[in-house]
Amino acid sequence: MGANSAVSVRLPARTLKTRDGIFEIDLNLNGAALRWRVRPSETLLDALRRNGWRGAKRGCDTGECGSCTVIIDGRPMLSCLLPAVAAHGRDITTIEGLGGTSNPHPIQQAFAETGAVQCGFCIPGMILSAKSLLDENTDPSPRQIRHALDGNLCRCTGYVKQIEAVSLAAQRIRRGSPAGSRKRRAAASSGRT
Amino acid sequence: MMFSQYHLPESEKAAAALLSRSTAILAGGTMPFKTMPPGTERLVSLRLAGLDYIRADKAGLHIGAAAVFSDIAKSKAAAWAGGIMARASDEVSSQLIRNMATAGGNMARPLPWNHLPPVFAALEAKARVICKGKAAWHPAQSLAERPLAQSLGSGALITEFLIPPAAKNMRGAFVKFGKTASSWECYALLAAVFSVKGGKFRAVRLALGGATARVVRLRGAERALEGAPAREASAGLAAAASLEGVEGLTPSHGSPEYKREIIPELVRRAVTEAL
Repeated sequence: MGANSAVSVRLPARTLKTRDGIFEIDLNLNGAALRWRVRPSETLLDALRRNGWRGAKRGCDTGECGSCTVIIDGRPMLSCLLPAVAAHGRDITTIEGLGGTSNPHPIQQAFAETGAVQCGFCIPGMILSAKSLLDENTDPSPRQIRHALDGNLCRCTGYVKQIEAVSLAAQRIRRGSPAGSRKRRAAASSGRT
Repeated sequence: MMFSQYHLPESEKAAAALLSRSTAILAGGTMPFKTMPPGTERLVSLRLAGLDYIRADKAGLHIGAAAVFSDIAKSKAAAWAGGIMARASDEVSSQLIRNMATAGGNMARPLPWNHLPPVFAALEAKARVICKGKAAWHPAQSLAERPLAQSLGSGALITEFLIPPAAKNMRGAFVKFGKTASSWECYALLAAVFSVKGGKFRAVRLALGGATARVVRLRGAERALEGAPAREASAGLAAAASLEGVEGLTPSHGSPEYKREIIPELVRRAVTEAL
């Protein structure tokens, strides 16, 4: 597929044509402007994972399970359904763009602390759906949380802990103390939650 | 052979200029690879075409074809007539789909469980369609009864839905029967709209989706309710007449026999709820 590169995506081209069966698209991924080479038959999920962004998971591949969720232009969407070329000119956030073990996002922290993670396969998608909700509403009701997460299926849990986690993250975001105490953070990263 | 061109037109006019037999429209993009016709050379995204508006004026409620379900569900403009437009939009599949799927795509793709076609039919909406360079208004009911390609041929583009202003006493309900509240592929769904004048039901419109291949109006139930006293007991009259003239109940997602049990109950629930 050749090398990908960094570019500006402020004014993306309005017409793309394949060259040797490949589109060149410009996108903003986790804050970095990139140029990717994608095939017409590829989904955004295919392109993300091929380029090393494996936080978005391949589950059902039919838009049913939500494990491939990414945030596109501020809204959580299904990367398994969207053609990769349709990512042209868009602003995309994957779970890697939120935070990691050393700098967790408050929602990631809350998921770890409340025991909302079991096998973890669905969690990146669930956290991105939660982020989009909390970006709009920092005081959601349990019903609003369930509604926002209704596209993210989990086969391990009963969803109760995950709703608790989003409520906890919302509470902290409202109070302006995003990630909780250092002690809790250390416990979460060592697996002792 | 997959498409070799991707276009992002910045206006309806620019999008219309790209229509041809080998063009596929990308609205929300929820199922492009599954539904892309063979021979597609050009994929045209409506993302920047300015068709994602929802606004109300004297002519009624205007919904751009690229408006997504999550925006329709939240729109205050779509809250009248018992909020059936908002409710139908809010109960489609999952939030992830609601953030992608569009009103236009829901009408253009001929799937029986689509939530908006019966709502548009019950609200007597019109759809603005550009075909062969000309724009024309079509009753949404007629588009809901037949796939767009059959009605207008290939190369047609829905640009807007216009819902006439709600009558003062208009009431409505959207009910469905599926595995979960947000099941898209439900057994049956029903949009009910009527007015109450002088204590009686008037202008009754009941549109059924999901149970048949395309949307059907429940004319028997509409006749039974028209002019009947506007009280819950009358819902039973409508329920009893709900299957009159309804043909082609599909065996997918529930047998026809099962659907014959469900439909009267949905009618009863919808009428009761709307009252």
